[in-house]
Amino acid sequence: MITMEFDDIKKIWDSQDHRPLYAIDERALHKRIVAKKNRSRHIANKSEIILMVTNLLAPTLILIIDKIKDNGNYFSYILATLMVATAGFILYSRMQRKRTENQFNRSMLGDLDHAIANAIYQVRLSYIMRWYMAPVVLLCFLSVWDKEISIPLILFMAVFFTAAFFAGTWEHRWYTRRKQSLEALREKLIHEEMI
Amino acid sequence: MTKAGQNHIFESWLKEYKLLLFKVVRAYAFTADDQDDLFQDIALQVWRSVPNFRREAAVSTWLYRIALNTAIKWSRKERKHHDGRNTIEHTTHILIENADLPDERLEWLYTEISKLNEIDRSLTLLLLDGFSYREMSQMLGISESNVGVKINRIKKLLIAKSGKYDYHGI
Repeated sequence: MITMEFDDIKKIWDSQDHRPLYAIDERALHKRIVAKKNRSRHIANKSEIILMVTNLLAPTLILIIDKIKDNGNYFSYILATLMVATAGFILYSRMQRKRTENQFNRSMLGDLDHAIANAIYQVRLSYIMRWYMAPVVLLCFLSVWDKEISIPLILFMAVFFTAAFFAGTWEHRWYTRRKQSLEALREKLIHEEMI
Repeated sequence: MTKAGQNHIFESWLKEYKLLLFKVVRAYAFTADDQDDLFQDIALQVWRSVPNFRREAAVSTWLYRIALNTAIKWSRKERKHHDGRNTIEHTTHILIENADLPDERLEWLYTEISKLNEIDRSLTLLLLDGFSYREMSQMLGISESNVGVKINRIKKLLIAKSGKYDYHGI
């Protein structure tokens, strides 16, 4: 077995002095932030569209079924109205969000502020949607109760809404963590901007 | 010190001593994302340290001290929190690795260094960059005699490992 002398190891080490291991891509950080901004915008867009479609489709189905079965009641009408109003609220929020998009400059900090604004919006939206579930659940149960009491249906609804609540909680936490990581990056960047 | 003065010193240090920082990054972080994160942390600490530099030591000693301390802390934190949830979408990297190493055995050397514990890793870097036992002792806060013992062990280990490297004909 042939071993090296320590001086040989030192020579290997010193070879990197003539050719650095890395080059620094100064634009990379900005690119990374732009990617974060685009992702946060994409998430907000997708959530809004899903929520609007759901809140328009569900009441339409409720009203159609009520009409076919001819057993509509006040609760189902209130539920349908609430859902349509929610879709309108989301549309209004979306327009407000879009309106503020041009207020951010195209610097690294501006793009990051934009990403944070979208993340805050997303956290707020998921928070509202979690609480919005309470009246929806109540009205759903009341409307069913008033028509026909079917144990399997009640059980199915209970399981469905419980799962939806936990999924909503998880989603809200995920958005919150994402927002926090963007804010932490901003803290770092404030110093690095001075660099 | 003014912000402009601080920035100027930082930029000149980064230009002149980036190689030193790269060595520490390479020895402590092993994926491109981790190398980026550690480099950012070290650069940030170096920038913050500029007003505290009193010229009592060489700049390289000062920078090594900051870089190694940051890397050791970062490494411990990473190990504690590494649970596979690092899903940040790093599409581009701040540090671009040079594809051709000046000496292919350098990869082997970094691999062997990475197997050492955090303090021994720091000592190895300082040893290979020609720092005295006294400087190492001051930088890492361990006694000179302890440095001597550890260095002796590290040297023997690296020499022994070099035999295996040669044996496999890499």
